[in-house]
Amino acid sequence: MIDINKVYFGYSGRADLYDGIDVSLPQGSVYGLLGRNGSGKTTLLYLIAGLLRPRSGRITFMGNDTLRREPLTLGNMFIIPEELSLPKCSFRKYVKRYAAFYPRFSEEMLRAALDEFNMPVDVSLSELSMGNRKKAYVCFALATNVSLLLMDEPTNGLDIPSKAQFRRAVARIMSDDRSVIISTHQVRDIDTLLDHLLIIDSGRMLLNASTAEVCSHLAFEECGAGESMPGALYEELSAHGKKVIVPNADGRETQLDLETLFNAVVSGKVKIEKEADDEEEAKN
Amino acid sequence: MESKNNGEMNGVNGFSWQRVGRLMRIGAMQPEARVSIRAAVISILVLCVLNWMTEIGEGDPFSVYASLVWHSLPLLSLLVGTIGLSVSMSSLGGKGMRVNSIMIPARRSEKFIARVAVSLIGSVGTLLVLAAIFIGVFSLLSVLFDPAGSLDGCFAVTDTSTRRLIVVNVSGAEDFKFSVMSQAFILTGLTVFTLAAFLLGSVLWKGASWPATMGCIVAFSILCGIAIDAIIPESHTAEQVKALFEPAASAVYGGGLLALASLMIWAAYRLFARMQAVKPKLTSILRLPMRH
Repeated sequence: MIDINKVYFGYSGRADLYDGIDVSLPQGSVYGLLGRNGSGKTTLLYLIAGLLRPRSGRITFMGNDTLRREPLTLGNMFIIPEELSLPKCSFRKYVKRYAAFYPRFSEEMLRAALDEFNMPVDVSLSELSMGNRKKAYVCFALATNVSLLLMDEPTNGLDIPSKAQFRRAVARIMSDDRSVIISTHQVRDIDTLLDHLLIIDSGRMLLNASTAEVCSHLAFEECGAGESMPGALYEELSAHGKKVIVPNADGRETQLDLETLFNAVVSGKVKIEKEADDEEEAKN
Repeated sequence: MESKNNGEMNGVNGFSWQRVGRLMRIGAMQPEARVSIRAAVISILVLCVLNWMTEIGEGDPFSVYASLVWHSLPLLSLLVGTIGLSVSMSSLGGKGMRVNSIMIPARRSEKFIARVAVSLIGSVGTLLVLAAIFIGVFSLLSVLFDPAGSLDGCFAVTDTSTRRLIVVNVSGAEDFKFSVMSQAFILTGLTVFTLAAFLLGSVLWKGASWPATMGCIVAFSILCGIAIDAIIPESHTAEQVKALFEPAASAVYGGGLLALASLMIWAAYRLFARMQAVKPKLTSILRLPMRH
């Protein structure tokens, strides 16, 4: 469980980016952290990882303050940053040196991830392209077998087949005692992977709901460009007509359209109010 | 699923020398280690070239070369050590490396010790090994080509004309001739102070910290010189000035330098430990105390 308790954070010389954000994220989900450029996605990931110090407030993971940077806590989380910095050595040597720091590192999971990405283990990291270096790093991250994986724009630099491989590799490692938080603005790369959506803008959490909750409250429809749907909460033009979000009064199942939902939430046209009971349950 | 159990090392939050060792192996892959080793190799090569250009005078050159390397070692070790320490934190200038360093599952003190150790071992360790090789080779050549002359040994400099190059003259200024005890106190304090300054400089400035730190030390030395000049009247004789630096006073000066060095090492560690994904500011060492 990640608890973000009334966190205030801002970069020096600038106004606070996070103004008392208060969120609890239970284990067992793949969270999509979505937002516009500069909205604070990476900052939130770094705050969770203990890479940034909030002005006030506290962030805990499994009850441990991440800012204390204790070995046990760090050994149970892993971050894939947007910009990788890897030493000039072979991937095998890299694994040999770094795996020892992760108590639950699994050779079998590493082999499975490498097979998924069609990556050999005997490669020199400095000779790999950016995309392949990222794949190698993702394989190592998955093999650490940690309870919290943080990923900042993980599909940047990956080709189309690799994005599908990435989705399969992440889906394979998911379990009830593991969480993955993926920060991205390329929602189409990971939309089928996500269980829970976190949409932020200017440091405010605009949406914190599971995909099931969203689909139970909202229906995603399409119509002709000149048409309109009664009771539409949000509309936007698409290549083939119009995408519409309407209240899901009759509980039907529709395909979640993340891009449209994101635009609707950020524009303030759509809100999903969390039940008080749900919030209490999440905190407990 | 099959998993590799490294619980012995990572099962505790307490300090682990095993983790320090593993961090040092990682550090050996970083650019800092290569820079430190290169500094040592270049220094010893430059010294040997300078030795070759020295006017030897009479006697076999090999024992003189060995002797020059031996006598240059203290000052050269200090120089190379400062280079090693000044690059020990240089890779942390990049955000990616900072993130990597912070997120490795180890205590902050372990990471700090490992970085400093890799840089010092890389620089001074390499220098001492190379110096030992050169001294050994020169001494062997001396024994082979001039068995009689080799009795002078590797550690004797027979002619003052051969001491024109980098030689530690521990007798102090000719006029003063400080006692060995005074020299020991002051030299120890100065050495530790200098190394601590370069360590703090490395954490503060990351890249290109050697010239910045050297500039600060020069400025500090000038200020000290001005202060000493103000304290010691011009009318004092050499003997009176010497008395100011005799063992008890030298112990205080040395102790003061060691205290300053401790403060700088503490500041360097604080800055390192409070490092964030964004670049740290000097004022962060004054904020809330850390746990470890």
